[in-house]
Amino acid sequence: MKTKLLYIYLFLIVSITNISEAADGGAYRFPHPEFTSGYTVPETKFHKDISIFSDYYKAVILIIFIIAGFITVYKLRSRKYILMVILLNLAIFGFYLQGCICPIGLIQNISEAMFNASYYITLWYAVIFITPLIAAVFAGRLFCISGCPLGALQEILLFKQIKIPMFADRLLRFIPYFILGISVVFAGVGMGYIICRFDPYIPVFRQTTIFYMIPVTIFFLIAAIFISRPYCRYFCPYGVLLKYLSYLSNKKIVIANPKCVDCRLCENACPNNAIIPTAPAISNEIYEKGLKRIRLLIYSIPFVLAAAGIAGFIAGDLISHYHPDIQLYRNIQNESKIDDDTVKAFILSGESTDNLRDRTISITNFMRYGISIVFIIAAFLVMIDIIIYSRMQKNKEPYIDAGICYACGRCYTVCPVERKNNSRR
Amino acid sequence: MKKLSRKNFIKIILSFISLIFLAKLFGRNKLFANTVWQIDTSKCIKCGKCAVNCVLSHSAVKCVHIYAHCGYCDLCSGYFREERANLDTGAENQLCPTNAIKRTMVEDPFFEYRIDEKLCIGCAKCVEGCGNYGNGSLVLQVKHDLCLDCNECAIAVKCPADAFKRINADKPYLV
Repeated sequence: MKTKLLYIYLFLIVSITNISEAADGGAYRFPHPEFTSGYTVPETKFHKDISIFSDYYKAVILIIFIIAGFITVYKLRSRKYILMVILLNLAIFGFYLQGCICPIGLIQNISEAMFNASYYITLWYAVIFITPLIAAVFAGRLFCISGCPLGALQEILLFKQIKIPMFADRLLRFIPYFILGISVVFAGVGMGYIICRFDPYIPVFRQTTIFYMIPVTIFFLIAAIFISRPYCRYFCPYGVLLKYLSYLSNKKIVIANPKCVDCRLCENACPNNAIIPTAPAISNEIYEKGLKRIRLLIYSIPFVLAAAGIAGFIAGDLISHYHPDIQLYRNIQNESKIDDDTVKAFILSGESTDNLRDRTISITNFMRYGISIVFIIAAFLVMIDIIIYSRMQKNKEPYIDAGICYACGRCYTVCPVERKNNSRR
Repeated sequence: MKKLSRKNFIKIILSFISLIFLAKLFGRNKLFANTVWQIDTSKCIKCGKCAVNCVLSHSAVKCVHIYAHCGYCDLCSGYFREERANLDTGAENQLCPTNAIKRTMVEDPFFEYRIDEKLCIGCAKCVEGCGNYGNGSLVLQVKHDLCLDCNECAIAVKCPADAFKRINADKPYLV
């Protein structure tokens, strides 16, 4: 108490004599000392280097790697070279650059730039985001082995593969639609970058993380040993974009040129169920049943979309309660929370409560309609996927699904026609 | 003219839309910039969350002393605790929990206070003391020889004053 009085006394004396801006925007309370012993005030120095690579280099390295991926997959056609690219990818993008900035996370930056007027993306962010997509439009999913360290880590971890039954695999593949939509809405409204926060493999590259991610990382590492690419297939939001753009590509991964002998070795070798076998002959009964099923699915689309929209609206409303601005508004109303740091900071900032209230209203609306639209679009894509899977298969020989194939090259190794072509070369 | 397939038509439309769309998101003066995280010291409320929320085990946020603003006071409110016994360098008198501030006499009654960066944990106790009763020459800043520049700064998420912002990497310190 005595010291506080002393401080206040000194403050009063000095404030009358000398007030100017201090480092934190506050006032100088004590004047500059005048040294008689020849002491000079040292300069505040900072380390000159920044520990992170500049974004420009990351963009250039990514372009080089995607070109390398293209060459190994389409020209060299050998799993040996693909593995080399995968290991280089893991070393450079993974452990050296520590997996950040990556195109998967940039989805959120772009979403925030769309909806937040004061946020902009730089040219390098745009290049890093768009390069794998351009590569996908022309040559399929090359990014997944050559540019993405998460994919590379999962590729080399796959020792003891347990093949997931087809229906479970197809079902789990619907999750990324929702993750993509939800992360776009979250980033746009300022609720955080959930892709980055819950990325399971970044802790491996940084060797440090928030405590609640430790069990998640361990789970995904163990899962990657037994299941092929668990994150890539069932959780990666960027994969949704790559999948649809890969369907547009003219250059597809093709094995068994010119004539497939239908040995079905590639089907077994592919860990991601990307090789669709020759369509089996089906009886009339099954054909009729299939027609009925497709009719049912198509008629149910409006109901599914309506249900998804309503569920999304409710979910958006519930989730918006966790937005920091809305929690701040609640805390301000609540008498017992007057000591909370966020309330103190808000009062210090001088912003009006009405301004905050308007913001909370726009945030709540954005979340409600945003999540509702996300659910509707995701449900629509799911229905389209189910209908396409239910169609009668007509392919006379096996083909590789360009949207799913990760270009890992295992089929190159087992296909007998490929081996003959390679030995001739 | 060669007939344009449906696929190629979609590709061309998509590329146009995406290029225009991306170009709209660029900021004029930030187009070629590299950006890093930094603390806006005028917004900082010295809550102490910087020390615990960084993804690194030792936070990249540390206290920085701006000697030009320092009053060189004998009774430094950023160095000494309010309940101290004596004005000396005893550990029981110091605000800093890790003894990161070194107090040396320059001439009577002026003392120089230096921060040992290796010991500083970024807890903001000294910043609070200096800001409340002194000149505010101790501030927290993100050290860029340590910071990983995560896409989403874990401290920025938890900062109650929203004091973290992205600035041009050419001038990475806001002091």
